[in-house]
Amino acid sequence: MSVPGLQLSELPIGQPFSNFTAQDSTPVEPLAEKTYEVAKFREWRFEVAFGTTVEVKLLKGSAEIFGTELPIGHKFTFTGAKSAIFTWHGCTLEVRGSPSVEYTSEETPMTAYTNLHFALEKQRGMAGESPTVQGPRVMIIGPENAGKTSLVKILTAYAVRQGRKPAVVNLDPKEGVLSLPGTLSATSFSTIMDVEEGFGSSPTSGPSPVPVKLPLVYYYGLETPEGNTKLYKALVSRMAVAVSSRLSEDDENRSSGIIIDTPGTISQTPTGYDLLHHAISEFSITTLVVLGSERLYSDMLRRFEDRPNHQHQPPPISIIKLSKSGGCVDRDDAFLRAARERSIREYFFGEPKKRTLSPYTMTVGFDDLNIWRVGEASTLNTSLLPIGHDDDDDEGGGGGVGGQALLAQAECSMLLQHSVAAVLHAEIGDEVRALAESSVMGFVYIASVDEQKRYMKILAPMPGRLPPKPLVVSSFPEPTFSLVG
Amino acid sequence: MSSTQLSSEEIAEDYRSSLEDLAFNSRYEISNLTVIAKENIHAAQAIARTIEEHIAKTSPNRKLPALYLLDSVAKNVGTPYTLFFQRDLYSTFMNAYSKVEPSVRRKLEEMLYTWKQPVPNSSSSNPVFSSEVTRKIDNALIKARTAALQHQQKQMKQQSQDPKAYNRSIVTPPPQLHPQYKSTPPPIANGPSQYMNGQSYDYGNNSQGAYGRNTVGYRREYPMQPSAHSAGCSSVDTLLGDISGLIEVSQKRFAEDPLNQEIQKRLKALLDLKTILQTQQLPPAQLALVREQVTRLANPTPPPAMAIAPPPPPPPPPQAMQLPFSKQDLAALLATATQNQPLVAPPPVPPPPPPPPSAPPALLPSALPNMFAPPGDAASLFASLQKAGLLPGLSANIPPPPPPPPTGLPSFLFPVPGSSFTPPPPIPPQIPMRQGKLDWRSIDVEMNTMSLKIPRPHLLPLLNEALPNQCSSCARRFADSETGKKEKASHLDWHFRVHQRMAESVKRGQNRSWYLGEEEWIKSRDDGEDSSSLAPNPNSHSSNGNNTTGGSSSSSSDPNSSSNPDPKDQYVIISDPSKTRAVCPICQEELKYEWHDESEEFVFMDAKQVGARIYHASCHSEASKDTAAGNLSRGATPPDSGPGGKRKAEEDSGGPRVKVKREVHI
Repeated sequence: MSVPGLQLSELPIGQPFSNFTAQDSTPVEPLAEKTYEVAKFREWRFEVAFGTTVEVKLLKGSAEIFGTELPIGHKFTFTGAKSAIFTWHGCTLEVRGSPSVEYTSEETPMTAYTNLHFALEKQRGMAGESPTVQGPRVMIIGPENAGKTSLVKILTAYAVRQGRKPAVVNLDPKEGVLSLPGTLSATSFSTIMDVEEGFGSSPTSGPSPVPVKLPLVYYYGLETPEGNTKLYKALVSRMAVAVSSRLSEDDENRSSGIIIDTPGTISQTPTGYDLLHHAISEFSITTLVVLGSERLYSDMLRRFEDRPNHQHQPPPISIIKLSKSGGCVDRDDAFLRAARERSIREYFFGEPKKRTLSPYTMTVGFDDLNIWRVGEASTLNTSLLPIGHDDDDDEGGGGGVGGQALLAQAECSMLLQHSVAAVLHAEIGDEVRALAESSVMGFVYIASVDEQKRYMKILAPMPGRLPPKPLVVSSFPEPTFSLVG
Repeated sequence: MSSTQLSSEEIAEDYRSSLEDLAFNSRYEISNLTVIAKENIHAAQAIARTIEEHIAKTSPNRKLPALYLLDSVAKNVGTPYTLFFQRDLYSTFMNAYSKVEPSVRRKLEEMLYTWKQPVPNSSSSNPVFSSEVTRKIDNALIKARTAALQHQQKQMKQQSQDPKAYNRSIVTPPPQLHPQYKSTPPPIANGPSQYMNGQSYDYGNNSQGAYGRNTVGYRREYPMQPSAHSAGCSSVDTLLGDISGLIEVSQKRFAEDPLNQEIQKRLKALLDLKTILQTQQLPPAQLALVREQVTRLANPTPPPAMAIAPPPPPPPPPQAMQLPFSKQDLAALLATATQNQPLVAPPPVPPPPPPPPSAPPALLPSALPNMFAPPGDAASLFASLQKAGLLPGLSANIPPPPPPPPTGLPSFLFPVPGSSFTPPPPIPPQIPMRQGKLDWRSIDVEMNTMSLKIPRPHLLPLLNEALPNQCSSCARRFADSETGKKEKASHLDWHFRVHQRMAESVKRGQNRSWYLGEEEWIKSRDDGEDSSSLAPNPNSHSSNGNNTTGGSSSSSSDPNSSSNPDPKDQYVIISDPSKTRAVCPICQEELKYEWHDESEEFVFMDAKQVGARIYHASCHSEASKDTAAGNLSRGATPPDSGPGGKRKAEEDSGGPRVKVKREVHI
């Protein structure tokens, strides 16, 4: 590994993964080469464990990964991926390496997904002709591992292919889009997405072979929206305002509309439904796509079907039911954890073999830091509170008065070690609510804390002094140890 | 004419004189002569010889009717005529074939094809003429065609080397096998009208003839192919007349049924077509196609069999069509059409592109790109015709032409009754496109669960084929239009720049940039691939030089912008170690060269690079105060402390006290 400043092991630290052991038992044939013929309308699905790589090259025909086409003759390297290559016209793939799972499927939901794209495209066309009409605002909901993010990718990639500029909003803190896990983000997509990275990457100081995307990032710091519903709602509202402003500034964005990814848990609990309802009205959703859950579909129908009868309500929502792709697989905790660790590493150090980034370590005194922590339901379980209770008190003060705090001031201590802290755009001294709703400049990694000498070593993405900005830490993504040796 | 026993010689003589009057394709005359031949079957041998001699002797423009007579006699009377004809059929046919012009050749080939079939409505399953004879002719045709194609290609090559020669050759036909023909006028100058008014010998309608024997309906709606010679003003005028007639009809129908979109579209296309014809000089090939189409439209009741749904009239490569009358052209035409191979020839100079009258350039199947080599008139014309349903759809859904008959002749020229010829499937709804963006009105997907489940193969091309122009590096698609080409060009430029910068950037460490703030994000315009320059990147701006501008103020995430509070803190990193001296062009003083702790680089302090020049940042900011002032507010983050000269204070109080150490870059 030629990444500077760290001793990265190819294998993630922690328990060996179940699928690794299976992998290890197979004879070690580094980069066995194989050619696959995939007939049209079929999908070659493959899984690559962390620590192994599989190189895929399109030799003939056309193929796409979640809507993003592969150029012929280019080698793409996958690691820690569960992915699928679909072809409209048939293709020949050259695969080097041994995917832990691979098969070709005849049944794909691409017909419905593509039709959904065209239905959206129709609405975009309509919006494109009249400045008062808004483009489609589609939200995709469904249980975990139903393929929500994949569908978001496909819809985004198709829209981009057709010259649209959709705003993609990620409301799922479990996986970051163009940013770390634990964040919510909004991005306007106008350029081709990354075959390997999924959505692409945020800007660096250097050139990027795939056009970079500019995300607007907010820090939530917890795995599920239920963790701090108040903060989650505040962030959703804030993002909705920002995205709506963006759409009103840019005509192409307006007509292209919004595509929103949501966390799986939001669709499974009463609290979740409440959050869902909140997000739907904040973003003025026009189309709600329910992926892979009959029950959720009927719940949503009940909830939103008769909405036009209410007074002062926005236009009705189309509620669509789509079936889950047979290719959806559950990602176990270990896989997701490894994926999180990788995304943190890539934020600071870049993608191995593609782009090497040089972060800077610096020493910062405790007194120069202003650190906050996301309020967690450790003292009071929100789900035990009467529903709506936590909505009433607007001011989540530093002390956590009345229910759950948005943020609380944190002490510099060993507890922070190995955490990732978000650097806010807000200023030190701003109100708690302003801090909580602030967008994020970036992240630093707290490599070590010396409580005696009252300083800590941090890893910052950029050279120069650390901006005098408030930092926010939280429990998600969990501390990683492998980042800096 | 008396049928009393006259001698064979007398009958033949009479017959010969009658033949002399057979100047054009007249069904009456041909039927009449057929009847005579039947009535004088005892003189069959003499009559057959007379016909053969007539075919051999008569001028090329009369050969076709004469051969039609031969055909009629063979099919309607049969033996013994067929036996007599068969003897010298090869020379009769080939001799005539070599002397007539391409459009007539096609008719001959059609006729030859029917000879290989059994006589329609006859109990016998034997072909009209024995397969031995027809095969021999076929072989000869193939041979001639191959040789001609080679010749043609050679010629094309020469032409492409010498554009002048090429142009000339359009006017002057290439050398011919039978030069004497050149002097004769086009045989069928008034052919179409004859052909259409029902007077002509019509294979399809022959069942109404005297004998009630149905011959093969191989009449194709191939109006006489106008050659370059005949495609003068007059033919355009007649065409315009036809179109005007059609427009009138359409207008009437439109008045009756104003809501019928079909009629509307047709009317619009006709009007467009008329405008194009009036304003522009179309190459003869296109005129021919237009005429063909118009003729078809003018015949609301198409003749049986073939004309119901003719296969897409193959728009032949114009270069082949524009060289009139030679065997080579025909050969090239056929070869191109069958093999779908591009000829190594420059496309003819296309007429100036018309103001596209709602003529979308898209949806031309990528499988037939060479058919539409010259963009402009032809493409847009066809497209608009297609859109209106006037031309059979040439969308990707068209099945490949049926396999050619064993002879290797292009099948589309020989519509086989029944079996091997299948009309194209119903044209899927044509989706009008504009520059790769589909017209949303035509999308028939409703936003509901049921509608989304219905497969819509006709929409799929919009995702892919409608944007055929693909970048080879990243598979990004572009429309096959002028704008698409421009976009692709700048896209490739972008790839090139990135490639260059990546090579350069290897020398220098890169960092993740800070994310944008809300305000900036809302205002930011991710204008495609330039978005990287919108990011607050210290290094990305001055990629053209070997120096890099940076800023030392840690508070600013965009040190390159003029938001830096103190110009004295700005610096330029010197990556070229030999360059240690530089003079500010404004004050003519030397820039301060020193080691910069924070960036761990040698830098010029208080410096700013503008283009290739390095100024004192303070001089430059003085000089450009007005413009800089406007930019002050654009920084990624507002300066956190007061501006100007307060760096010390800021370091002491404001920002966190940090020591910077760069990670060792291996």
